[in-house]
Amino acid sequence: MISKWAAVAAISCLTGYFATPLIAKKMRAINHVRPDVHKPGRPLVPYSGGVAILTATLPASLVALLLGPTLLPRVLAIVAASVTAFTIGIVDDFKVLGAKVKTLLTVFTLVPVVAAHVVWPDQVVFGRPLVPLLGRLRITVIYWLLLPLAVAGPANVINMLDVFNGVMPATTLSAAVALTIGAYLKGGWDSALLLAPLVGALVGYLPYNRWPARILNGDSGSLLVGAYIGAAAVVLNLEFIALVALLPHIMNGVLVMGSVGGLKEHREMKGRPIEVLPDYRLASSTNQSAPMSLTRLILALDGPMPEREVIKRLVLLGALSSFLAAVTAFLIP
Amino acid sequence: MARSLKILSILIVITWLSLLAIFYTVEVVVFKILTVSWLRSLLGLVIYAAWVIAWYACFMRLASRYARQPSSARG
Repeated sequence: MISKWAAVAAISCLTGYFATPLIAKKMRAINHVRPDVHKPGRPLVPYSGGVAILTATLPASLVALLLGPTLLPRVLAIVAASVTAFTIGIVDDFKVLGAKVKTLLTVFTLVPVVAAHVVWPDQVVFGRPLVPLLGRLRITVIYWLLLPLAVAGPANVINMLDVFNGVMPATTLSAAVALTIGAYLKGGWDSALLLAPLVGALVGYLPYNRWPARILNGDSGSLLVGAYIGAAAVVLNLEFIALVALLPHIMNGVLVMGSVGGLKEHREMKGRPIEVLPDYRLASSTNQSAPMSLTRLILALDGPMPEREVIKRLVLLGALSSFLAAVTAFLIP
Repeated sequence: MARSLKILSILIVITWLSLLAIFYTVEVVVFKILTVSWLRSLLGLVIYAAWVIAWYACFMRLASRYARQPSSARG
């Protein structure tokens, strides 16, 4: 029922909306802040907005479980995967982990999903992705080869594109809406209920992270949201829809890793892909050995521009991918 | 519309369409022609891998062509 979906999303949204400023205040009080490097004066902004997103999604997930007890295996898998990712992220927010260590740790976010599959094989089904035009496939070898990336992949590519105010919550919100459409079309409102906590949390959180941000997501935020999307896609067999919805994130991840030759923290890279000009417009780096990224490509194609214009372009590309993902959902027989 | 949005939107749409095409080709055409199970799996894997490699090569080439150039009109 749509009323259940709306109730869960509303709880998550309101919790996120009211909890975020309190958490931002607390983070500032403990001096857990980071400079917003693309703004004049590099103001210090409260960090680890993932705490607010988790605060919103957890109670909403519990309500979703109360409203749909049959969802237990899938809710548990999603919540456990996202809490695992959040834990990795919050540790990284306070004590920086290396890129390789962090990425390796995120592979473990799959463990709760696999555990749910082992305990409830009829309800958490692996290797049967829903694909447009063809319906439910039976994939064995390729699926199991790619499975370690099913949750870690979205978590890391979303983390890599979390570079400007509002881009992470806005692009993942549109992806979550596309997944909701897919879940509804293939499993009704009960399946769509699994995504209501995330959709609501992002709607409630976005006003505080949008430009000019009053809280930054941190790895705790981007890894949590990415793991949530990845785990939801796996338990709903909507991997193809998630893949399409996250195309800009994947393109950015491929550009960064392809240009630096693997996984590296930004501190380990030779230069930054973009430069901040004296008038605070952003420009593509003049350093030929600096890594490539989607943002650098945008700036190279359009020339220097203010941060807000870059954000608009990234959000529009996310919206296009999510639209195609929603179309994909309608193409699944 | 901004040049970057045009180019990247086209790239996203082409990627999406080619993804649909590759899945359809493997699951319908290849699996219909071949009856030997292991051969179907192997050919399927090879086609998917070839698609990924081709997409990666094209995308990196395009990105290198544009992004390695410094932004124009820094004013």
